[in-house]
Amino acid sequence: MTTATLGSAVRTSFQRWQFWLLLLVLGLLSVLLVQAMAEEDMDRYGLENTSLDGYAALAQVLEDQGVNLHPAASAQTAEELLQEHPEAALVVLSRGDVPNEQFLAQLREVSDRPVVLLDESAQLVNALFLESEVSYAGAHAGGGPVEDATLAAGGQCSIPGAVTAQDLRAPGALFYSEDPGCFTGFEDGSGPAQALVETPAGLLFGAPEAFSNHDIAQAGNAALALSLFGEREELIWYTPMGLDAMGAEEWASPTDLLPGWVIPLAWWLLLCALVLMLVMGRRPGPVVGEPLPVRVPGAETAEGRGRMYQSANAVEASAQTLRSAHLIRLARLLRLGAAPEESSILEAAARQVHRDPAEVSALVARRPRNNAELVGYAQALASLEQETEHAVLTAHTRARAAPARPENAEATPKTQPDSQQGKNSSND
Amino acid sequence: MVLTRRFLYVTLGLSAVVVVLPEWEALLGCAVLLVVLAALDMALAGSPRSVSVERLPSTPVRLGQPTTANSALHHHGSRRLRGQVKDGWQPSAGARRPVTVVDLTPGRTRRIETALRPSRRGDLHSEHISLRSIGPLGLAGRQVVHRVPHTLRVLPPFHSRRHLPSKLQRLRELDGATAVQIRGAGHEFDSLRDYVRGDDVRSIDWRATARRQSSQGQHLVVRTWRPERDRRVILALDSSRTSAVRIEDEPRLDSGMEAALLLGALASGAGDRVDFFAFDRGLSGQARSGMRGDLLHRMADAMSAVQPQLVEADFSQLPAQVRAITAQRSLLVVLTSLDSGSLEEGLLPVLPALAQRHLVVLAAVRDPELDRRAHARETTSEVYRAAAAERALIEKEALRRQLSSLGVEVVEATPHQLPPQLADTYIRLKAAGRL
Repeated sequence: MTTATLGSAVRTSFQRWQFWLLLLVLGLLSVLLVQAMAEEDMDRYGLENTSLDGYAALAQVLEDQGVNLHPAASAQTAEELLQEHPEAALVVLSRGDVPNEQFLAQLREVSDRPVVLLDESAQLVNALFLESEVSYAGAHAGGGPVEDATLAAGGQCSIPGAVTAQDLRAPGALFYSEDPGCFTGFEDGSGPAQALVETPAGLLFGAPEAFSNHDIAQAGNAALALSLFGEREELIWYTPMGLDAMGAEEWASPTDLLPGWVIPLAWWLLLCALVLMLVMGRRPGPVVGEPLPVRVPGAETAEGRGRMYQSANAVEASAQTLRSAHLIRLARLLRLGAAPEESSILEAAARQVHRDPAEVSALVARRPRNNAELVGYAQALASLEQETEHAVLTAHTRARAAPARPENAEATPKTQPDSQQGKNSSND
Repeated sequence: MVLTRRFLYVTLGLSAVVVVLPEWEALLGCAVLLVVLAALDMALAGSPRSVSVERLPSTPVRLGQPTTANSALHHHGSRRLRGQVKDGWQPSAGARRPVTVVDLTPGRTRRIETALRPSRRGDLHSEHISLRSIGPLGLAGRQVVHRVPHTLRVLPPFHSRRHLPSKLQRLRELDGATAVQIRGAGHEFDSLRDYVRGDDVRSIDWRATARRQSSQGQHLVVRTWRPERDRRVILALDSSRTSAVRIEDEPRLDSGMEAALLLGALASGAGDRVDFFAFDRGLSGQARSGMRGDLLHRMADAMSAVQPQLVEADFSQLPAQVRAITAQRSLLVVLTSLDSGSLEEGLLPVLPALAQRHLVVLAAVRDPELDRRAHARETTSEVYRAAAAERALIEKEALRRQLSSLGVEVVEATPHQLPPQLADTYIRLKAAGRL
């Protein structure tokens, strides 16, 4: 087999398997796309989320400072990590979901590892502190003028990180606590409402918004973040999900409720569908192609030239062309012989339609300056020709209807094609 | 491998077993059963490879007329073969039922007829026949493609045939057999006969009348003339790029073929010798007067394979082509387009020499679309288009005048009008004795 035939054989087999190859490539592409989409973190306060409400900046800085982040999405993972790193600090970030009861119990037990609880609502507090040692006080707006939005650490504050940070600027939740806290929002009968309070389970911070990519550079937010999370080299970052709160016994598979034959039948019907594809997809022979003919539409040059005239607004040239065309046809219609003068054509035409020669000459000599005038001019020329044609025809029939002329040569020129007369028409 | 619908129904039926025995083993068992059945059926099917295909020659057919393409299947195998045969005709062949059900006994031959109604001129092909053999259970089978080509020649339709009787009649009127007399140089003397009322007095032959004097009285004798015979008519069909242009949904080439066929039939009926050739860069088809067989048939046969080529026509070889046919003065009809670009560069330089030796007629298709556009004057864009169309018409007119000044007859008409008008021009030239 020579290289040429080998090449053509390869090409033929490629053409044959083209569809399947294309399908494979498309499948791979879609899998890659799905993977890429899945890996992109779009969660609020997500550690890899680079949008405004993400924590990517914080995570990056912490890693640069030598802190190892261990994200945990479920209670089980968090448990495993806690056992793996007994010295590590723990962060529990609640976005409206709370950990399951087992984990909460473990949190309530006082341990020697630093724990930071982040929650901007009352959920985590209510779940953790049933005895209301700490309770939710209200929301801090954080917007508005700078002096209203910024919370100062306060003199009573004993948490070193907060003292260093001095002030905080972010919206979030405020809590009442028996122990003194930092960043007092307001004070009422129940005591001061603060953003950062010490609880038996660890530090509770009500404004996770402060550490987002958008707000971390404000006031003392960054300093607070580093001192809160940078304490130990290992940091377990646990974000509870809704499913964690559910006990394992609460799970019920929908398949348990179905009769036993449904799943095998579904698989069998899938097989049937496969067989259907094989049966219907088998062609009775190779696909036969049709060598397509050349297809050139007529008058396309004229069409193109017309568009060119229009786009160039060639009023003058178009009017000139129309004028020449009509004069040639009028000359032929009136049988004025070879190369007649323009004035004689117009004169003859005016005589034929019983109009003033000066008026006809003025009509033809008009120089349109814009599109509207050009349309009017073209229509006037067309109607002049039509009138002349009508007049010539009626004159001709009247002459033929006239009696008492014996058969003569008149019949002969009638059978002659028009080309004979065409030769005699004028030049433009 | 082929699976049939019956196989699908069996598969669907087995889902009842799956419902009754909802075990994975049962499911697997059913699947294995299906596979075994299909394999068995495939093994028992008659081998489609043991069949040889013979294509029976087809006769050429006019475009638009139905025909059948026949093939013979010889079964050399030992087992009976049941299944289907599909003839792989290209779509424009218009196979109405390409799939035939067959039952072949070993050692016998079966004829397959495929009804065709071609919708395209030229050589149509079927590259292969595919044979599907189904097993005795009707569940599965085997399929093989036999690559044995078949060709069907489709001739031009010759719609202008309907003009032929009236034009032949007009030719006969020119003949001396009738009383119509048109005298002219080049007419041949036919016979002398008695004068009847209505004859042209100018055709009375006084010398013959004097010789016929007898006791009965005066006998006026007239000469009769007949149109010249045995003149040469050469039809040159341009199949270059300009012939691909569609006018009124028919390529110029096809309109030219219609005109050439009508003129060829008319001229050979009038006793002239007709030669036809089609050309673009070289010769793309020809039918010579000297060859055997019916001229019209040979012309149609030569035309059937001619397709528009996207190349510029080489008119410079035209004189050589004509010289190869005859050195005699003849009527040369060039069927091309009245397109200034291609004519000015190609045809005009060789035309004076040709027009000196021969009588040249240039037949071209007129585009009625241009006339329609030239008359539409409602909107701005219509007026611009009208101006462009008028310009094209003026250019054509100038070209016509230039050709006429060289002594070339120009026939320009719409696709349907071109064949009769070209025939009229021929009759007029013949009557005038200019051939």
